[in-house]
Amino acid sequence: MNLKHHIWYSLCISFTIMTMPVSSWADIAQRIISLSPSATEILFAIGAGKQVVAVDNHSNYPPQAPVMKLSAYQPSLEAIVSYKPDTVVITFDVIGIKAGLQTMGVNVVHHTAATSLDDMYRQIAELGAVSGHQAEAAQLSEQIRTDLAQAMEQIPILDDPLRIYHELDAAYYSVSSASFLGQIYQQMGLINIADAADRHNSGYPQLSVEYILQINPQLIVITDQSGYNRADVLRRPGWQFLDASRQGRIIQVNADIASRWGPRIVEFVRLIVANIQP
Amino acid sequence: MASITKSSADSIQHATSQAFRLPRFATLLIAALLLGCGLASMLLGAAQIPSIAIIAELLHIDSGLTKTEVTIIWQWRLPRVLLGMLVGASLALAGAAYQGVFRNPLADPFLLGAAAGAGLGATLAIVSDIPQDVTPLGTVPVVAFIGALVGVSLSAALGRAAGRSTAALLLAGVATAAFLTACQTFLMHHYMTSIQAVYSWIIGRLVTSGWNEVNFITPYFVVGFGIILLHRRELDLLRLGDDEAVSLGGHPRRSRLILILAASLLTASAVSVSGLIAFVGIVVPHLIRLTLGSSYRIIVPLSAIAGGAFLCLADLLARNILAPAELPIGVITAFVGAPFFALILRLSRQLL
Repeated sequence: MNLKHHIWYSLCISFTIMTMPVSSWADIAQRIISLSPSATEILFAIGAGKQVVAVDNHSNYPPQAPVMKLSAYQPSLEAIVSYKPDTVVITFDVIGIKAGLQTMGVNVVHHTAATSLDDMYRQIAELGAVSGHQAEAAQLSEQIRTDLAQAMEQIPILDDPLRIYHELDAAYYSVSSASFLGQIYQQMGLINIADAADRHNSGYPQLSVEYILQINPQLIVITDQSGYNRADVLRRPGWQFLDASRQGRIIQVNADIASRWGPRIVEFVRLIVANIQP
Repeated sequence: MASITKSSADSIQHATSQAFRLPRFATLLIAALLLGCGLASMLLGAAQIPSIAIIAELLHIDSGLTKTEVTIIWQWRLPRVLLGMLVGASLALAGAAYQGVFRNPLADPFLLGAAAGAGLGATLAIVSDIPQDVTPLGTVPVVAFIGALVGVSLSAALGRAAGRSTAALLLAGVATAAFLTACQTFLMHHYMTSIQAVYSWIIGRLVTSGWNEVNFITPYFVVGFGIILLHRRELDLLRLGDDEAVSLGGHPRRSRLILILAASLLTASAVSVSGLIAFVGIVVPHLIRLTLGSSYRIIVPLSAIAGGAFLCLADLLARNILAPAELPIGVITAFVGAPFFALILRLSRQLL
């Protein structure tokens, strides 16, 4: 037996030894696919990143996440199964993907979009349980709670709470308190102008620009993926008269952070808090 | 005896001239409807501003409104109302012209693939990062115009290959539209980050940013309207068939080409600002045809006015039903247009 064969042989042995105990943990997911950018961020934050074999094309954080050509909106059963997952995390159960995966013996964790912080904490705990990182999951939730509480302590106490307008796109779609982000704004004591336009609690009403101008928001949040910036907003007729414009409170936020429920929500809250100081 | 013959000849002549003349009362009524819809649209909106103050402001009388309210009226509500009228008139005119050119009562910008082609063109121009000033007219409308022409030509070619029947053209149009829409949807899904944007474009929306959209669409509307209005007699000749049209001094091939170009221009400019607002192009010319007469000398001008009024009314509802939230206008045009059209069809069964 030459050296080359010897190395191969020992590699095979060590590989077998390494994988043996792992495959005997029957209940713990070893090959996870995440079709949810939020779940991807959570899994990596609780130390389950090594068990993640593939993530969908929008899961761009953290950078080491194994991004593959998988779509969360138009999932392909064949493409998913080709990674031999034992667990798949989904947000949208479209085209029967959940049932399809289950028939093939794959465990499906169906986490719909969180609409509150409690939803998020519950999903973190579940992902911890599925991946065998319960302790880290509990720790992460605790950390987020503490950080959020600390950030919220910095919110100035005002007689009249600030009116906020969160703009999703150029057609004036917004978030109301029925959405995750809206819940955060509510906890921050802000008045969300989109609530009056969301009688059916859809979470994402389309506002009339006349209404936005007349209600005069004191804080405007736009995202960095809308194709325009603060200066463009100020160029819209009449928007320069708004309190938010005059007080320099038009904030541009990272669209990913502002649309996911995960550990980076702390960054988002800190940014908003920093911008509402008198 | 002679006097009887004379009077019957007179009455025939009278009847013929009546068939081609704009009915005065109906024209006034439709124009009044347009003005009424326009005024109502100016008075009602998500911003609660007293009507009297708005009227005063519009008449340049001191209204006592705040700077923001004045901006709402002049920079947001007025351009939006005008945009609705222009888009509605453009789509109705394009529909009327296509129906005349193809001698097909069901032709409209959507069924012929013109709207889908314009949509594909507009999307291509937006996602491909071509600079917006390649042509003096801007890039999006020009590419959208080419797309609309490609759509109509494909439908016409396919339809002709399948035979000269009414159904062949429409089936070809349906196939073309489906194909072009699929290409466009693919592009949108591939390049756009927001599914919401794709969706709102497909059902059609009237979102303005000040006067930009109105300034953009007006020149195209004037040119397209002018051309079709000048060719209203040729449209009537085309109804008779090519041989008769030639014998009556028409140039059917040339007029067909010019009319298709004008209608496609109108479709393209409307689609580039408002997405795919369905139903206006087919319903409005038919309403006029069914109620007032089948001459294009009547249909063309009245379709333009009625189309403007119809879309203005639809937008009034879209802006106010859920205020301060908005509804996509495409939902209203189909929701109101379809049953209304069915009713008219039912009532006018004898006329067809």
